Amino acid sequence: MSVVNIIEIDDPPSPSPAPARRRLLGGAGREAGLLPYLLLIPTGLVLAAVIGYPLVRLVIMSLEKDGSSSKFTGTPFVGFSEYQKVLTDSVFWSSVERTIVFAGANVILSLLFGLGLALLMGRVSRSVKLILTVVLMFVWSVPTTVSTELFRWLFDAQYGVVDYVLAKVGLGSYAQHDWFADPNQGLQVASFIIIWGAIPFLAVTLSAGLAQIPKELLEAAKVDGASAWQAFRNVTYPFLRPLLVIVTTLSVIWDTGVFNQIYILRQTHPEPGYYTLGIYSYVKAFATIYGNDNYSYGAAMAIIMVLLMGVFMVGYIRQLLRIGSEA
Amino acid sequence: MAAVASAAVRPRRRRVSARRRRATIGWNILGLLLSVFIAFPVYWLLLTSVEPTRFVQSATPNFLPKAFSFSSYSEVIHDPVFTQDLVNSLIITASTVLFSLLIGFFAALALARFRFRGKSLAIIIVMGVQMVPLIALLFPLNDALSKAGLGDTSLGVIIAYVSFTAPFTVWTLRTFIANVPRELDEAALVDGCTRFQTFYKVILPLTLPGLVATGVFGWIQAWNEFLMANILLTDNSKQTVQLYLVSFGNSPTHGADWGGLMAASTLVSIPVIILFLIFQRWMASGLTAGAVKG
Repeated sequence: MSVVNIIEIDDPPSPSPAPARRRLLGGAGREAGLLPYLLLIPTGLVLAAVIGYPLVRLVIMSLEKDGSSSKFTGTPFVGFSEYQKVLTDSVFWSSVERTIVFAGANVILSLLFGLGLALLMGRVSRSVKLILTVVLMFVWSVPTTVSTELFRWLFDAQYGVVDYVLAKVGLGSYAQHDWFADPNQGLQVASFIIIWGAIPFLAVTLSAGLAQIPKELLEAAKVDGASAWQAFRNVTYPFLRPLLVIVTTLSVIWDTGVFNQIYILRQTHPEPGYYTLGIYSYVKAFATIYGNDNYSYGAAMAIIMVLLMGVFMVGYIRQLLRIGSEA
Repeated sequence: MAAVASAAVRPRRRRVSARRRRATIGWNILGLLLSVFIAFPVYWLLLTSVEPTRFVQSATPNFLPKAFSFSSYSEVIHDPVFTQDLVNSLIITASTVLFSLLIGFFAALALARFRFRGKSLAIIIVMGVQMVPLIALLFPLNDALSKAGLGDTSLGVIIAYVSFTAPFTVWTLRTFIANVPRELDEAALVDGCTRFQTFYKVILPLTLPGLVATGVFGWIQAWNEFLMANILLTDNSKQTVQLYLVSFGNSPTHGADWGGLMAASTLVSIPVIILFLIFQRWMASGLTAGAVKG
């Protein structure tokens, strides 16, 4: 979601500040000791209300039998039975599998394209780099709702330009081809949207990272007779690694949580073949048209999702903190 | 001796640079081709939005504009639901951003300028909550908001949006404040400023660009949000432009009105694209400055 996650995290104070500084800023008096806490109160209260409370409620909901259908009968406590239902649900497991394959493919492809484009931007002349940057900025700024509607139009069976071009270049079977009848093919279109939307952030970020590599090192590698691959492997990659870890983790988090691109692509009624974890829990909890809406079922699934994502989050935060402490 | 060496080296260098120039031409061609390929969907968006309907709904699409028509745009702009939703979006987005900046600035100040017990815990919380999936918060938030009588209201959506704008506002502002040299507030304190005056006369003016940039990020995220609004807002007159766009795309009355849909898409994107292009310099360089510091 937020592209600014990656913002610098270096901790300004040096480990052992001069005593004089501590007196001035750390605050000698009692008042200064409390000040930082006072400053944190408004945000603390707001975060507790809009994140802390909902998370607690989510846990409670997942332990209750509470669909909107049971509003008048109270909410009996059912323990872990919702989790049991989720974990024995074959649709849940096929959603898990689909999410992993789908997100995995998107992460790998968008990183490959992003890194490739970043490397290319370091080789082209100034004017071509400017053109690429402008194009990437435009693409970057397109909201996901818009990009999804746009790709729905590009891949439209009746008047879509993709089918037209494919038929023109000799793939006649693609004339008026319906891309969404087969969910696997429809998800490939969703992948296009996701990768297209992810490339600008990745390319621009990685290209900025590449620009910080000292030129002398690459020149030295070249003088020493390193091939392009060896130079990349032994000079570029080690420099880029911390940044690569961060953008990879962010991509994993974003691509696992993909929602709009599938939901809107299927015109807000995704078929079971399109269920990823996010879509399935949403459908379960909210879509009354699917019959039994079930909050607690969705809640239990959301918690399982948070726990799965938690693994990546911990890794991400640790990486950020490590870079921060090295700075 | 030296002359001999340089004479031997020179032709070789020329050969290398010629090869490099030829390589650059190759990379340039590849770069241009990729630019065209990546930009094509955006081009198609704009082209479809300004074409007369008979060209849009045609078995053989035009790759260059044959005729211009702004009927798609006027259709959307003259839709009272669109203008109403536009106002809703503006109110929701602006309130979310201003509120987040207001509370976030104080927290950022605490994290950037003071050392206190529990600081690392505070930092970890602020970073950790950024990664809670919105969908997980949405179930209980929807429940709580409707119980509090805030279901289907702009205020309810603003509250929900603060859950994702506030943490990153704190995080980003913290960096900006940390970049204001400490010596400046020390000097102000030494010169007899009170703590409040130091904040007001030194830190605030110097972090103003940071406040603007952070506000822009928040604006883009809140403006683009769809998932939460889709559940929290049901009434047509209360919806945001993102919901307008998606329901436009789904409504049977607009059938295959791709021109209208692309015009609506363009209109919805414009506020974000403008902000993006103005601040792109900051986005590209400032974003990674710290991340690769290691």
